[in-house]
Amino acid sequence: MERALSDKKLIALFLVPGLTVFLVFYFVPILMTAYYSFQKWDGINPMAFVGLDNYTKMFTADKSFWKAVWNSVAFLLTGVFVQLPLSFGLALLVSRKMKGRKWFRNIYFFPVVMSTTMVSLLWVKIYDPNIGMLNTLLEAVHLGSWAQAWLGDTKTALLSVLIVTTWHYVGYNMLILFAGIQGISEQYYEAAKLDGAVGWKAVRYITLPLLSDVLRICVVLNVIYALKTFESVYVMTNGGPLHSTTMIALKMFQEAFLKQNFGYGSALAVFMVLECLIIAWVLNKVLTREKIEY
Amino acid sequence: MFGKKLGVVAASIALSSVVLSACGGANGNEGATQNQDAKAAEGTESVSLWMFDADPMYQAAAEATAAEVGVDLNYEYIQDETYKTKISVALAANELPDVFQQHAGKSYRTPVLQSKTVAPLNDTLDSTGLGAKFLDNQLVKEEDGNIYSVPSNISTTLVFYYNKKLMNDLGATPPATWDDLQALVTKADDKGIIPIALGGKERWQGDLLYNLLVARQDVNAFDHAIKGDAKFTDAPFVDAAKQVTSLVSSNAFQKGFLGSAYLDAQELFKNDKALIWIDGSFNFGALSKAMGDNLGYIAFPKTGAEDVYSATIGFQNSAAPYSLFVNNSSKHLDKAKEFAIKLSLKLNDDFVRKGLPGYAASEVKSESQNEQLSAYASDISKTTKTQAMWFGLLSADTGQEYRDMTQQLYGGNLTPEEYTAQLETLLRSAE
Repeated sequence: MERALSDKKLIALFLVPGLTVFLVFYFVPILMTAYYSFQKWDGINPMAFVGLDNYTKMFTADKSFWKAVWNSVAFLLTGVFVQLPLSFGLALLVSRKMKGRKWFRNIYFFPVVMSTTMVSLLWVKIYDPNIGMLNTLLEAVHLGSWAQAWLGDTKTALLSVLIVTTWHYVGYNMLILFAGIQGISEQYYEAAKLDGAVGWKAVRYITLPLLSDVLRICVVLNVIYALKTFESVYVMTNGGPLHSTTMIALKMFQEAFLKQNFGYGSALAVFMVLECLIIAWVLNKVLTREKIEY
Repeated sequence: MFGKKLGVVAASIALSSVVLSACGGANGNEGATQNQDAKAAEGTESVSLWMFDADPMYQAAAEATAAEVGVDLNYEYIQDETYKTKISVALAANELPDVFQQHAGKSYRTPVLQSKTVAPLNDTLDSTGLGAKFLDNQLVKEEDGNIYSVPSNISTTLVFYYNKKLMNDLGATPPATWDDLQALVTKADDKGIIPIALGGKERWQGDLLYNLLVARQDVNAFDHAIKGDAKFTDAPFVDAAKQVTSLVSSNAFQKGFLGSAYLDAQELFKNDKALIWIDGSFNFGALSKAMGDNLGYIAFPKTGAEDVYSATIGFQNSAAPYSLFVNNSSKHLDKAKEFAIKLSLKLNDDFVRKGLPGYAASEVKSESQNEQLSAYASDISKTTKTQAMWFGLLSADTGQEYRDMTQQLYGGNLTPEEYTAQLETLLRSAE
């Protein structure tokens, strides 16, 4: 067995089937999508080569494209600067040796196991300005002036969707960070305690540095999820009202499958793939640091 | 460079990599195909059918037709919005069921015909003699002289429904003019009743209301403008757009209507929270069942120079009606054709039974109708013109852009003048 594992040719041979599947079902469609992005094509009639026209349209003529880019950035920033700190806080709380911590952990994680469609539909009802629970609750506590048409107003729609996605996935990051925190040896905290580092100082000088690898993974996952967001927006607002919540993935779907602009839809898909790759690469570069050991 | 089918499948895989969970997949079709193969192995012919109409009447008619034709039916209902996506991919990849329904309108019909995946039905219509049962002009003859589809729905139109209980509570009467409508909207709003429920999320209700407001200004405005004999910036279009903004500014629609889904808005009407509901006549049955005598109907008020019987807005389009098509790659092509034609006629019987005007001769007698449906049938017979909804006359991409633009009018992002100027540019360039 050991001899087999040291034989590079044999290893390569075993990798071939997996690599073939990967190339055929992942890499080839991406390449073909890139090819279609240079065509005008409705999916039925013959394609017509249009060069960079789809990309020119995307960057110069499609007003909702930049809105979608901005919304992606909003999702990204919320994921990294709101959801992740919240998850970290929750992970710290459920890491404490206190009564009922498993129960709390399960409660915080529960939304993650619900499907995005289900969560989105649930919140559509909660947000409903006419019969929804949120406005009713606000009115009950004499905050009726805060009642809004949450998903129907361009001023509040994006924020409303962001709140839902944050609520939905905060438990996911919490669990990853919780696992990371559990992996930190207790002896570091005991040593730090002797030096007077307790409470926030212990978090600042022990937990955070030793969690840096886990945090980096969480940041990358959050960023990629943010850039690919589709389902929650599709169900809750369909990109509206007036494109205020549109996303690149949603635009791609609408262009390709509703407007039958497969060429332009492909260009949007290519943009999204490149965007994800570049940002993930930059994040890896920026966040990679020497492994900390005490 | 690449085969069309391979191309569409590859593009769909790549484009769908982030959206698969929301769009549904082709599993239903694969399942249908496997099931069909199994049935074929047993020696029984089977027909797969895709439908987007949720009314149980459709499935019942399909099952009865299958029994009559002697085939096993593989019936798949697909939610309307999902259907539009699924059918466009299936068309391009030629992964269609044996028989499928398609929406009315050029943007839906043209791709079906261009895909060259559907079979002409002339031979079966002639050999069975069933073609003679369809009324004049109800079978659309395409440029090549072939008939590729049979109707799957009657000519449905936009209807002004109202909630009788709320109208009585207000001590008001249904509006007959624009001034009446405005006064009613104000009165309802003052009493905390939603004057008009509107599902703005899907955009079509607002779009059709605008179409009707234009037709009330000038019944031929759209036809003249689209032909180039007039402009979309002319008075009828601007005045109707002003009426839309006037309705919005007087709180005619529920809070957050731009984000309201059609079905959610409909619930407001059914549950006595909204006074008026503007929807298709295809919903008479469902609304009557849900609301009973509480459902009221009137012909859309005289909101412009034209009278109430001058025109209505039709979901149908005589050149591109709601249709049943047959896949020309069907393993049981002859049976599928016979099934589609007989299903169309069976549905026609159901419509006639409900007291609605059918598209084919029928021996079925009309059952007793409720008051509203009788009034509607009477009004439709007096109505001079059915203006096809504009969206149905446009290509898919122009139609979507047009609806986006109309939503901006409702949302206050465009003034009536800006809106009509953009309308002129968009629809003129689409000619």
